[in-house]
Amino acid sequence: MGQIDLTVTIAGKTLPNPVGTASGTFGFGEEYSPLIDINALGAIYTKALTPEERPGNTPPRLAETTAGLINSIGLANPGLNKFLTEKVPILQNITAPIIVNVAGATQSDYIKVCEAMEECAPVWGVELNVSCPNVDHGGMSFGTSPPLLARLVAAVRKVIKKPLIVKLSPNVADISEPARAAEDAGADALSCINTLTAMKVDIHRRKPLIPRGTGGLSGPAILPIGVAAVWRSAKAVKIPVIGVGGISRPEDALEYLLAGACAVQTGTTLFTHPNTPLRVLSGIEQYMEQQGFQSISELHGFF
Amino acid sequence: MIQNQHNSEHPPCIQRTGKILANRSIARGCGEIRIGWNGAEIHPSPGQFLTLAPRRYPLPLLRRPYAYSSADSSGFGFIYQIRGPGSAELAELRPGDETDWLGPLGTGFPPPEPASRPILIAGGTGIGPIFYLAVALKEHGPLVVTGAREANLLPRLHWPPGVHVLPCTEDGSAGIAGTVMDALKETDTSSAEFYTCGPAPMMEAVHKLALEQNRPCWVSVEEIMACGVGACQGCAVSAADDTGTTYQRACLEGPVFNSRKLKWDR
Repeated sequence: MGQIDLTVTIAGKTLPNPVGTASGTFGFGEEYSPLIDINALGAIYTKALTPEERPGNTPPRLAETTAGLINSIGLANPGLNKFLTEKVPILQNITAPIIVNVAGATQSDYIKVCEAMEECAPVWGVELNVSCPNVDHGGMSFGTSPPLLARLVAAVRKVIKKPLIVKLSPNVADISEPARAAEDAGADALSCINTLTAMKVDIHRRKPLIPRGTGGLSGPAILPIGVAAVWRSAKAVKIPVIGVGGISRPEDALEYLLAGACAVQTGTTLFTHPNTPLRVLSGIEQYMEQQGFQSISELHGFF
Repeated sequence: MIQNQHNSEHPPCIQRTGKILANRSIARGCGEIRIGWNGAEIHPSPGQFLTLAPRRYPLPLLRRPYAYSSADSSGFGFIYQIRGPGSAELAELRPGDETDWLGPLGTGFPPPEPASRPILIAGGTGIGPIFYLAVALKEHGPLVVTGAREANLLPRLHWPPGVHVLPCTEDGSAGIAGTVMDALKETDTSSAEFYTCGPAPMMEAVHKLALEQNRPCWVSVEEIMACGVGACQGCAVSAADDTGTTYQRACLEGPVFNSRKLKWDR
């Protein structure tokens, strides 16, 4: 049997393997370096980056639910200038592909950050965050309106040649519509899904645990929702789809790959088990070997 | 013994499997677990913490943080209170059981200023890091004021010589009748360096006393955490800042903070 090919190609550029770390769960890469070989990752999707520094939302920002986690971080990040002066020197020493998650309140915010990422050597590509449920302006409002999304993606496409991935929101009736809108406007790939709008109520204080009321649900609880979103999106578009949401085990990642994903991201689970992405990767490899698959694309098309 | 991490880099954390050496009840609903290094000895500073992986992931989902209550050549310990699904499974642990720990995490207590008297105030499981700190500071003759509602909620611990302990109970069933603040009123705190860990109202009261006395005060906060390593920004606490929108991470800049750097009027 031939060598298994684990590489993933997006817009002509190659990721060494299909398992990355989801935005917001892995900082800018270095936080986890004492605990996991970060250079063995298929990609590091950074914490969202906005033009200006954002302190984030009023705490508490987290609520644990049954096999899930609600967060309301509010895109806390150092802003573009500090990213370039403080984070880039660290990212230069990481050999795993760095995909910067870009967020904003307005179209010009996204353009400003994407222009800088196009010029920033250690950045492999960009993941457009049009699906954050925890901010008042921008965020999910782009991702849930196909016309708005199309305009944003087309505008960003003009300033970036590097791979442009659009991270979609599951908080829509039919995810294939924003998926098609993003593809038609020039996206190179999609990632599905961001968190689901969710609430936990403190029955003793008789109000929501998170000050904003709702937050975004992640974790094992959302796995089947993410798999369905990838399946629908992959049927609707020709560009690659990246599966994210609730992956704890190799089997979870394989569900995404069989449903049409070309790659996956692990997120919330690595808070508990930092080695999750590498364990998932070796499980995928083992499955492919046992089942006689030689490339990721061979996993597609069974249903 | 105590590194001043408030001015320096942290040692890197590690994740290991350790065997439970002992799990004993120290008060009603409260226990102390000791875990062996199993070849991975580290030197956590008082105030630093570890996280334990849930044994039946994903119920519960997240690792739980516990401050070190001891660390020596044989292993390390922490004190827990049974309050939810994370801590409930700790009560079931028996010697020989394996557990997945990650540490040391966070920034611990700084050493006291010269010529000051360390006064340590603990409530609830806040006794864990305060016990470890008292042992580390025993040469300084620290005073530990520890409070509980009633006698059987006061942790039973073996304090080393040199540490002066002032237990208080609200119902008067042991020690001084009243709260830790009542006990502090009867204490000379004019040269105190305050260190406190416990319920937020108690820590706020100690902070206010420190302000009145113009003495330093260090608080160890407890927040829900996801990553524990500074990546997710989930454990943010509000900092004392004119803008009102500056946050610090309990897991990285904390859990120990100079009380004057936190916002208390929440």
